[in-house]
Amino acid sequence: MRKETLFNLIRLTVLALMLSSCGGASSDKATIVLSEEDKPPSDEEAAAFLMQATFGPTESSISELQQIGYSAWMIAQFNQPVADMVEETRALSVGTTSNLKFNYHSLEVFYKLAISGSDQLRQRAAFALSEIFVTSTIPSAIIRKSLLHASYKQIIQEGAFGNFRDLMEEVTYHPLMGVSLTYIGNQKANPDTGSAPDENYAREILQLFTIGLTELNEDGSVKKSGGSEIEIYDNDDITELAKVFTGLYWANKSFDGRVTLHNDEESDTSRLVMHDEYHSEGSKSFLGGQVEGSGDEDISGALDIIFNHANVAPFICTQLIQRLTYSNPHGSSYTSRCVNAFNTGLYTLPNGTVIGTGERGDLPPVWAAILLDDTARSLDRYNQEDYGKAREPIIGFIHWARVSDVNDFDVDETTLRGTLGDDDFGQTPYQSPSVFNFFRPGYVPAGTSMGDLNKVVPEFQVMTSTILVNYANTMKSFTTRASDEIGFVPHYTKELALAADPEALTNHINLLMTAGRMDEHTLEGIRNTLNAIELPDESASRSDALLERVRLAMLLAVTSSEFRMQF
Amino acid sequence: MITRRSFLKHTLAGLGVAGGFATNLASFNAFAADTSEYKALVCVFLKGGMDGHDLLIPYDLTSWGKFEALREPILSAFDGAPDGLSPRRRENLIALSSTNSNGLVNDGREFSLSQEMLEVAELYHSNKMAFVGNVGPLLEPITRQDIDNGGGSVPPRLFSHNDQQSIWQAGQPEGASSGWGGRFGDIMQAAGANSNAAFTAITTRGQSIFVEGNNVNAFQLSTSGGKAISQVSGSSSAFREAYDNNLRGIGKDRSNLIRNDIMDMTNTAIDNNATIRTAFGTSTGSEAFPSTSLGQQLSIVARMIANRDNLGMKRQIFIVGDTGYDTHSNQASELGLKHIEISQAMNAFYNETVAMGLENNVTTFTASDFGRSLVPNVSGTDHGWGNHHMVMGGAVNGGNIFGNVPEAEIGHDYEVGRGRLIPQTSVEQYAYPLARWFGLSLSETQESLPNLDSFDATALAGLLS
Repeated sequence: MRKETLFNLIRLTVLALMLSSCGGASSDKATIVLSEEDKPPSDEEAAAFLMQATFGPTESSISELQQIGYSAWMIAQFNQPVADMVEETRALSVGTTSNLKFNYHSLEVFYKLAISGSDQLRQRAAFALSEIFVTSTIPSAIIRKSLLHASYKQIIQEGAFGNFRDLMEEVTYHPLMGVSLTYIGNQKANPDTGSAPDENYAREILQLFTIGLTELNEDGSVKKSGGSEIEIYDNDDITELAKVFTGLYWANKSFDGRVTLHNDEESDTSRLVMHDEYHSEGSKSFLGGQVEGSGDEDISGALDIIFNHANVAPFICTQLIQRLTYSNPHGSSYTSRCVNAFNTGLYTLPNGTVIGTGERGDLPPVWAAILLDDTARSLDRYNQEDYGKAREPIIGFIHWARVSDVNDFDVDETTLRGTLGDDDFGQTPYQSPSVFNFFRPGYVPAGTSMGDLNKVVPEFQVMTSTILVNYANTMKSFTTRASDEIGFVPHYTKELALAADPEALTNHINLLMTAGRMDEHTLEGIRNTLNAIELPDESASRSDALLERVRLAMLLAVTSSEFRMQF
Repeated sequence: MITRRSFLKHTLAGLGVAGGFATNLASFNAFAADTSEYKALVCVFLKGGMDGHDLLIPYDLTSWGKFEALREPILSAFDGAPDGLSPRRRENLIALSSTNSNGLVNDGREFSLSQEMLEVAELYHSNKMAFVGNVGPLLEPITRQDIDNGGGSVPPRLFSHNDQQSIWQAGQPEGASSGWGGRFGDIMQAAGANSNAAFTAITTRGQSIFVEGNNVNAFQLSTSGGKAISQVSGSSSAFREAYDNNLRGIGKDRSNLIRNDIMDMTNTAIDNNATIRTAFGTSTGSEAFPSTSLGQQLSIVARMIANRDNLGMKRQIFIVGDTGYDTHSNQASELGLKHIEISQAMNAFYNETVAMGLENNVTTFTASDFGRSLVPNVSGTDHGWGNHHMVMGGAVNGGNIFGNVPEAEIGHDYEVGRGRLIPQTSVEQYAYPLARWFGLSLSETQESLPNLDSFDATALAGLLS
């Protein structure tokens, strides 16, 4: 604990120094002269960066980035305070009993922050992490626990700018993960009944959250020996590590050895508590290391052993790159540079400022290394046939909502509550059907040109023939949503102001929705659509016509292939 | 493709099984796929690792005693009858009659099913359902001694959900490019079985590598049938044209491959969904199916089969997927409820094929990530390897247990810790009779199942006729 605090102090000091070195950016913007590397070359490139680093650009975020440059923008984002999702969720829940039965309030707070929060980098980074540290909706009863979910979202949001080792620990001690991966109530072997410790968390924390299954090179490519991949551990490691994750139970409750849910806000929002009498005694050997101590000591030691494995940086960096910028970074110098940032805990911003605590696993340098790398910023990427990624359906939706001035996030009243499975987008934030996320980082889509090259496109796994059609239909219902409906009504403030001028509205939408990537054919389709809606003189019907223009232009934008992918 | 070695292996192996030799010789001359009458293979994939130890339960007193001793924590959880489930004690089980011919019963062993598997027991007793014991991914036949001595090779990434799902379906870990169902489809498509290639291989849940071939691509079918793009009422032709162009990728730049693929995928999705809508017309599905996910998926498969002539289909491969089998905890209530769902859904599907007069033309089989540990956790079980499975249909020599079901013991030749089973029948051996029944020639079967030659292909020759 003392160590953590010290890290935080160092970070705060470094950040304070950096801020002063910026010469008070906010008060004296006009005097800043940005270096070439620090300044987006165009509004389009500013927008492209903000599609990778946030849930989508707005006119004001583009203009802010153009003014202060990448370095100061990153620092300002790292300094944004964390919202208290638990308190916000609790406040929404006061006095409502029926809505408490589902997770709506926690989702509502998520959407509010993702769509309108000013801490956009944290929002996008946390969302990426939530697709690695996945809590599933099994057992289905946990979907009803709003504060339990809010509390988990909170530790991911806080952890996004902390150290990866601390995040591993917060996740391990969180009751939502404990329920999802069934180690709440897990206990030492019982010689009377013959029962053994549950191996679920031991297996998945290695395979999915930290090191994967096989050894990786520093560039994220698979290490080979005699032509074969090298498996890092066998089932003996798992049965040993399973002993470590025994004895944890809900705070405020007496241990009963089962994955029971409780109706108790304190339990739902508190770290799990170790009960040493149910924790496996003796030494536990795995991954070439060994722990033997109290329950909490064992867990801390085990997390250290896992965290210190050389696979952590390439395993995590590859996936975070995939979530933000590029589906196929495996075996590239791009991944190596991200791995270097992870392992050194340092990154030099374009303005020369060094960020990070200098401790391995510090995440702010990792985000900077992913977003500011040449691979993600160079205009050459537009000439690379496999560059970019598919935009996740739910990220596309949030992006649209940001641009469209959505400011009412009532999930209960919209179709968003049913976005799993066949419905709508095939994904609901933080509610994957299993710990394997909505899609796998190694998904090679059969029958596609990317698949033929043996390239992965993870998001294609949710873009099934049903979801592809449902996405278009769901976006149609949102883009044309009437103003008297409740939840996720678009206000289109900027767009309506431009709607009388088809060229101006088309250009505005092209910039904000696709960073200017629409091809001439797509732009022409939007212009033709706008011109086909005549503007009457009479004021009320003129307003209707302007709104119709914006709605259809937006629908064309969100269903364009330029928007369905992210360059 | 047929080497002298494999020819000898198959013929010699065939000698051991009554009728196998003649069958093999006959099929050896048939180099091209048989595509005459309609046939469908339906894979029911139970995601998470279905606990086969709780499927085929030892029943003779000796075997039951061993099982009870190792499984007590789970059995006692059933005693309180959670969620209205029946207790899992010997007197509550449904004994399977002993028509078995492969030696298990000759040893005096008997097996049973949970009461929740009532319909499955009835199908077994009417000879429409068979079990295959201890089947799973293998590279070659192997025992515990081989593994302990560092000899022999085992499949990669054992016990990992996603990888073992992929190995079951495609023979390779995650990232494989085709599955054996899709490869069966490739051969049938090349043989001209179907006038509509898009519906040769179908998944009713998510993407599944099982139904992806080298040429055939899976169609993902919604349980509600064909989906249509909803139009904006009162919109201009300019908008409708632009919208259609956007979705279908007409006239667009295709230099970026991800963008190119999104347009192709969307275009194909719109076309295929439209074809389904037209073919299905205003007909409705059978109401006999349960409202569960598995029930509704099998219902839409039945509807697809009912429309086979509308779509010009003679050979189809389906995969339906059910979740909730990763029972690390609370297994008594969770798996008990799953048994009801499986039993009712499979029974409804079988009855529907009877109603269509196609019970001999549709063969359904289960698959899963892996089996589970015999020795439980506090209230559940852990990841294993070999598993017991079900094969259902009029062509199945039902009322039999094929393969082997090891005794509920620790430390035998096919056990690898906590009662996790080492498979004695490989996935290829399980797939072989399905392929031959489906109409693939021997050489086509070998081509579709590349590692088949490492095993006695005809081990389950009597499974289907």
